[in-house]
Amino acid sequence: MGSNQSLDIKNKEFMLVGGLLVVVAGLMAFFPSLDDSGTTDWISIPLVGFPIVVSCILLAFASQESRDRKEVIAVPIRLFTLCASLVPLAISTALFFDWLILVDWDLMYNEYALEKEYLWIESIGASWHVGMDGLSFPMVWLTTFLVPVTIIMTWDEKDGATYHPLLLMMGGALIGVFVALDLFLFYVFWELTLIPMFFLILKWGGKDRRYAAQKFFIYTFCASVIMLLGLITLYFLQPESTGSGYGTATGRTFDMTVLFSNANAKNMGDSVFLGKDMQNILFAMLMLGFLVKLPAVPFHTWLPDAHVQAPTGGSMLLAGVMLKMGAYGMLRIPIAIFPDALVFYQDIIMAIGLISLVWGAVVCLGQTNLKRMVAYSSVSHMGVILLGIASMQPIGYAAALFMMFAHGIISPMLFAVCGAFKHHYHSMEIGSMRGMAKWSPFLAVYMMFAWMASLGLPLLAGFVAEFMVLIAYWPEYGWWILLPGFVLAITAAYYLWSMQRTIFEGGDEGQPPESLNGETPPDITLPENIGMIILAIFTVIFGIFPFIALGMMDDWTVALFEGVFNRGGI
Amino acid sequence: MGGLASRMPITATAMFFGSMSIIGIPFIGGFWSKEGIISSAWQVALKEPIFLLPAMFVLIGAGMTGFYMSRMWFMTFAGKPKTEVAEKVHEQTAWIPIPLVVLTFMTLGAFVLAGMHAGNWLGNFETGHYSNFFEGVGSELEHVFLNHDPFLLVLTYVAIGLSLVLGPSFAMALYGGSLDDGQKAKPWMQWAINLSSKVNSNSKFDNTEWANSSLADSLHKRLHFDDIYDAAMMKIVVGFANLSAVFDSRFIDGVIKTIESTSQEVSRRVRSLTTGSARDYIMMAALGTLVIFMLLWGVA
Repeated sequence: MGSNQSLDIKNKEFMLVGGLLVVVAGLMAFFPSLDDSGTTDWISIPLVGFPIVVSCILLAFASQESRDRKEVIAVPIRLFTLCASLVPLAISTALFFDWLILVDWDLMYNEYALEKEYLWIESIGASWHVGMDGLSFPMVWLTTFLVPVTIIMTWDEKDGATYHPLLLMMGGALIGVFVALDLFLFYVFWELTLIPMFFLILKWGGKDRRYAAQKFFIYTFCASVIMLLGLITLYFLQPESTGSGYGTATGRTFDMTVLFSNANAKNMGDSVFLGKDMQNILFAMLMLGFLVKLPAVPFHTWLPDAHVQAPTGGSMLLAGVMLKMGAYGMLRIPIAIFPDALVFYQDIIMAIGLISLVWGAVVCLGQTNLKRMVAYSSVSHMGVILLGIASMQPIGYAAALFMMFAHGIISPMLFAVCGAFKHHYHSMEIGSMRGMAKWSPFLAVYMMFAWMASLGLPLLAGFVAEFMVLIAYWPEYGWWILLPGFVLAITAAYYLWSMQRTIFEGGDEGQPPESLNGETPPDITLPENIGMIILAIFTVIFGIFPFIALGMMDDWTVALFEGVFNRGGI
Repeated sequence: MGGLASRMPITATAMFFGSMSIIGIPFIGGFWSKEGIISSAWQVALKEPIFLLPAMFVLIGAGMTGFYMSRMWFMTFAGKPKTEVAEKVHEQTAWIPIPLVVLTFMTLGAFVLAGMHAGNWLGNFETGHYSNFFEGVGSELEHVFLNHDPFLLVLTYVAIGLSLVLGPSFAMALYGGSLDDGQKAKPWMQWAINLSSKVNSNSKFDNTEWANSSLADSLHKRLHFDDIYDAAMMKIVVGFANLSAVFDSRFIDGVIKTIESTSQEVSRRVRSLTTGSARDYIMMAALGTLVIFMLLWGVA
């Protein structure tokens, strides 16, 4: 009977994988010709639709099964999710290296590569409009890169039949945010990212996961509602027209490219799109949504709670990509449409960035929970992005973009180390143990590496961004630069101090944490090892050869300054 | 430690010449730069009296270097072993001696490097004057030891006297001593050990009172810099950080939590309006209708 049952399970697994392969093959065969233009749409289905659809199918399949069966089908589902997540990675990498088609990334302002537009809701002027440029492509690649790494890293997570598909869905939704060129579509994906993350925290989280998940959802949702109000106000205030892309019923459009060129045409000389006061109000409304997501002090308290309770994979994607949605949104929408308001708020943005930077670092020093400390260090590093934006220098913007990218590789590694620590030591308290290097040499090395990368060691990716921001900061704010400089010292202090109290000390014997009840702690598992070494390698690659990503970002920055700020007034 | 000269010959040799270089014994590595720095400092001090104090310090420092480097070497490599480990110690791996030997020769060869004084041997591109190696060495030696400026000539020999004679002599008097019976160091170190033991036995120095003084104690604790630093970092900075962390979770997050609890409380109260009894709803509908009629009446 036993053998018969296992045979049955095996058959079902094969049927599952085979059936899904057929579905996916159908999708892949379909995507080259969604419209009549004959050019391939490399974004809509391969990067956005495919991961979301596959994860939905897998989730639907897994939800049918009983608890015991779920454990059995977790293996093929996990493998399949990994393979599916490699498809967007392969495509985005191929797009970067021009293996599929020749992509020109040297774009003018408001020009997009691989742009595609399909009519969606004609009456209100919403369309499925996607495209990528130097701002979004690094983020898209980062997301496609992080999803498989996260899946590998959290290979042993319990209930993998639903966990790993949720990570895949998260990736698809995040890419959707970055490629959307339509405000309606942008907002849809913006909120869609909340759903998988909400379930990741709620189901796989720590002790207070219910509270953390709800706080995360409601807090960021409230902020996005304010942003939505701003977007709708912008929608109704724009000039009416009947051109293509404009809604047949409302005479207005959600299309970002149309909005940008309209705003850009009005933002000439002394004239201001929508008037100065309205610019300031709308800018503040949009920025509020983005600042909460970033997060900036004082809107940051959802982040440590969410991170501490979230599972490792959730934390990695949350810190790696989700926080960057805030920075991306800022650079994409308000700054492009309301440049006068940016100048108006420049000092306030600088102050918020500086406060985030200093406050995040100081609070880090007072944390006893390893993951909480890393979460606050994210707050601190996101302040650097705000400083880059407030500097109003091309190099500052390029640095902000590179900070988004570099932090997107380093912070997942920080959380991977925290997750592995929690996994093997059942504790997150700094100082609950000493001499980790004795039992877990690999984990100790990765911890040291990630900590060093995050505190800005030269030749690692984080340094490039921080240094560029400081360069851009000097001409605009002069000696205020001492404050971020001082924060770098605090950053080094809290990282080194936490390392000293975890990896080192304790003599030859070491001191295992009490949470292990006298057992000998193991070193990290093979999947964790693979995941972390990939992140470490890319941290080094982008630290030594930053121009791989920086070239594209520079081009985008120059185009932005040419297109938006270069009009005599600013 | 103590008496390691015979047990670890390569290490002792490397340390011997390395210390000599740092002290500034003539012809060895450090001498050339030290001589240059001292003479430059005094040349400036002669023109600007404000620099006399630093120039004095440079000279005093030269003497002190002579003392503390010799002290370290004699305490470690001369005399009798003071611990059991020091008695049994020996050189084992080849990895450490190889760089030691290479670096020792580099230190000793600084004589050659000094002779390559760029202006004299490699040639002066402006004047087109080129000379050979020996001319370069000769002019360098003459420049240092037979300087035409009487002040610099005296200065050189004062500096040499301080660092070569005075400092090491004190060190020998305090810490010198012969090796164990039957132990023999290499000839290039044996003479120094013999000399130190002779100086030590002839002098009647007793520094126990100094060694037990509070000055020695605070010097041992690096003038309490570590304690001050610890207090500043751990008490002030970490204390402030801990306060900030509490402020962050109590106040900044507290505001958010207050909003949470207030909204929950309000919704709980409002929810109680939903009684589920038809009578209440009908009454509310009636009241609402009445209000609408009154409003319409008022407007009309």
